[in-house]
Amino acid sequence: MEKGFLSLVLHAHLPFVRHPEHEYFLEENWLYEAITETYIPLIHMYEGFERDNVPFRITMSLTPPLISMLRDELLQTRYLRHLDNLIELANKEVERTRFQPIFQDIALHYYWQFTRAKDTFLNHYQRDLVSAFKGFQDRGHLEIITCGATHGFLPLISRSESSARAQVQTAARQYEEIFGRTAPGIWLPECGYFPGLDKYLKEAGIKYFLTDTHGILHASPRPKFGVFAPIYCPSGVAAFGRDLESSKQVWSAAEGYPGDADYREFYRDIGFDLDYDYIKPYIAPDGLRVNTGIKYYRITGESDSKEPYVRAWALEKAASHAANFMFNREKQAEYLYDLLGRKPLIMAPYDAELYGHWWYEGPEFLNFFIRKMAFDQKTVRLITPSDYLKIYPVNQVSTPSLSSWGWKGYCETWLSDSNHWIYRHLHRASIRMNEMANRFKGQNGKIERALNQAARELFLAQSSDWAFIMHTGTMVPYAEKRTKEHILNFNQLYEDLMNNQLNEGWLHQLEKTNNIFPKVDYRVFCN
Amino acid sequence: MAWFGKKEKKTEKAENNKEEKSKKKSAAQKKPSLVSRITSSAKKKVTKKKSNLENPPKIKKSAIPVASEIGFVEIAKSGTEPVKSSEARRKKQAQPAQPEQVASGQHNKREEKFWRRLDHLPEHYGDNFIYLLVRDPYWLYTYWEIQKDHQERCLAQIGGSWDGVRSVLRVYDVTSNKGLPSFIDIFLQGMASNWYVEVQPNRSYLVEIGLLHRDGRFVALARSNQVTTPRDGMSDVLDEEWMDIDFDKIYALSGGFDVGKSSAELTKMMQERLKGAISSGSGAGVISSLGSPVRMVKKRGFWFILDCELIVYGATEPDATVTLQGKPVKLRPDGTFTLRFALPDGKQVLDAHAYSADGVEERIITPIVERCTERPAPVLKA
Repeated sequence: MEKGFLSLVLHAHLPFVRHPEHEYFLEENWLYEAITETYIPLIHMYEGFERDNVPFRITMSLTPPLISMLRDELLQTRYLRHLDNLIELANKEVERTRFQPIFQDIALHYYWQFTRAKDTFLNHYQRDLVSAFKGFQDRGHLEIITCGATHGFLPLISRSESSARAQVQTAARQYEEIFGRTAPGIWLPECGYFPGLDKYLKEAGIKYFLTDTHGILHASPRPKFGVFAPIYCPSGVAAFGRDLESSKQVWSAAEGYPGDADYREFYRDIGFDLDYDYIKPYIAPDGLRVNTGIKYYRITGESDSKEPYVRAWALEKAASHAANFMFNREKQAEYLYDLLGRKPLIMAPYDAELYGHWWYEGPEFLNFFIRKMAFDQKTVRLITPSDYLKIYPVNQVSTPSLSSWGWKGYCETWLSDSNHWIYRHLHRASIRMNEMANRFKGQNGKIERALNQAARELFLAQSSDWAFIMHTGTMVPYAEKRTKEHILNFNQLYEDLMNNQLNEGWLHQLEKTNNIFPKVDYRVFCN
Repeated sequence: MAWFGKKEKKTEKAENNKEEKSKKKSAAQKKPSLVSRITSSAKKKVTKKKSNLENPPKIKKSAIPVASEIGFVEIAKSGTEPVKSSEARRKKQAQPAQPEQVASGQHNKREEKFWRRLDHLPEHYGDNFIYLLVRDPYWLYTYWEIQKDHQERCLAQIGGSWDGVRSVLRVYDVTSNKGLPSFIDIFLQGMASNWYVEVQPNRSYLVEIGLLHRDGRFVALARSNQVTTPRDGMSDVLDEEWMDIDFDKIYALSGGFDVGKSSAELTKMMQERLKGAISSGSGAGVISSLGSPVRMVKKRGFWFILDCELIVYGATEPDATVTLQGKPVKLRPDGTFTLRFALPDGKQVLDAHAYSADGVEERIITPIVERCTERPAPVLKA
């Protein structure tokens, strides 16, 4: 019998970036890169487990904006265009590196990776990767959870009651529509929790959420088992806290695995390194150098001089890191089992994009780890939070503390001098949305469409990603523009509705451009 | 949320803050992008440090206005602080892009195109209110909107003259229900329309914005909602049904601290971590999702990179077959061809063969190319 449990939770999220008004749009590359480097490699990994009969239980949040983008026809078509371009480049690279077998091996590796991604995307799943994840869930391996409708940071946007509720309800409905069941859990955007938030989760039938370590440790009354068991909020929704030890091994820049010298260096990409004329067709059309995804070097060490990447060494390292990670979890579980007198749960949440995009070998690490967990030990069992609640339905009742997993643990990332100006507008819009929803309830036709579009614009403005970007100071103009644009659209719709002067042509245009949640229902903003 | 960490480019400012902006901009434009990337990677840590310095926010009780975003109501006439007016702010925002925020000059152009399409957000919504948000256990954030006529009416209640009247933010501690709540007054200056307020963990607050006469009379312009700050340590509340384990130990294990510390020590360690004051070299990256866990390249000063490629091109009859080093070469419809190779140090023998379509003739051309790179030590001139 096992002595403890481990829950791996991968949070897959990107903000809604879709620009039909431009033929090419740089920020859409976030999605394309994540598909090639993270989502498809994870799918390949899960397929491998099924093929080889490796038992596994993993939890993944697929956020509503990500789901919306993955299911969007325009973005699917553009992804293929992006991938074809990459394949062409990889092909050229195989030839260009003919005199350097070490580099040619890597070029071949990319060529293989990209062509395989295309095959998976196009032939196995007919462009619909969400259906791939759904399949793993339906076959009992994956537990997919939801998130806020647009990843709104709930502790800061909930001036009117309906804001948090609408974010949760809209996400839950999308989940139900796509996965054909109720969302079992939720990844609160940025793990942002405030006492009372759980009641909206309960309304949506959601059974659990995740918080950062101190959200549980500072809960009241004191949680007997720390983060090694969930607590029930007074509403009955369970809260699971992040384990710091397992987190540190992967996240930490100083001690974490991803910084190993044998792993691929993220910051040396041929989009920047190669001759301009040669690389021009594969970077931004306006000539701006961007990452292509083809990177030839390993981390090597602290200095600038980098050695070529050797795939075999990197895989070897991923295997030994997986073994180390497993060993540590075994020790941790044994120790905690004796201390707690019950099987501990080690909750290990990560951004999914860490695996593959940032840490190129991340999916291989997971692959080795999960296989080893299945066959090389019996101390720790991989389970999902839902599995845990079935095994241990009785847990302490306590109220978690306001917290997030952002820098410094609370709200500062999203509320600082760089971004605090957004809240008076976001709050006003949410109050107005509530007002309009109540006032026009029951109307249909053009008015209903306008209300639904106003809800979409509000949701899009609420994405925590914009405030985050403003805080980190990169690509700020884009984030500011997105915030302003959606608020301005919202305000215009509000005024048009109030003055009974809707411009249907413009409304139609907005519906086509900002088309997240085709089935959005403004009534979630009613009292 | 790690996705955006990779393009951190802001810190140039922190590192070269004495340099003029224009200088920086042109440097960024000239620099080949490899370096702006390396610079930017190195910057990340600096950004963090800078943020640490900035924190806790500089506004103590004596309070300097936070750069007012949308300050549309002049609350007090005494303001001498250089507060950014809304106009200035908008102008700043209307600029295409700040040089430190973008990868290169090309990026600037792109952003400029975007900005032109946007109107400004409204300066106010015609309302009178003040709203309060919790930032963390130690700080609240409040913003407000007061219309001029409302302010005039309130001013009339205490005499109608600004003489001896100041705008204040009155912060009430309403944790206890008994008796009158205690409060402190923060004197507002300039065109402030928002404020960070330093407070205590695990207490409840509300604020009023109002006018305070020097004779002590106070008239509130608006009153906020009530908020409660989170505790910054373990709860004092124990649950009898769920006890009997050494909670300090559990706390240490959960938080990744050494076992054997006292409650007080643990509380302090957790507070330090959450304040971002840990200087283990890994900074906040240990416990947050900010940015990438991938180690970044160290910034260097001057730099120089050079590499070589070899272009091999030629022509033959369009229906001929051509090979180079035994591998087939694709001909264009007119019979020309071009190949491009990375050229490392060493000798390359490029035997090219052309075979006529009728199989009668073979021609061979074999260029031999040798690259040998010397790297003398850098020359340093005074």
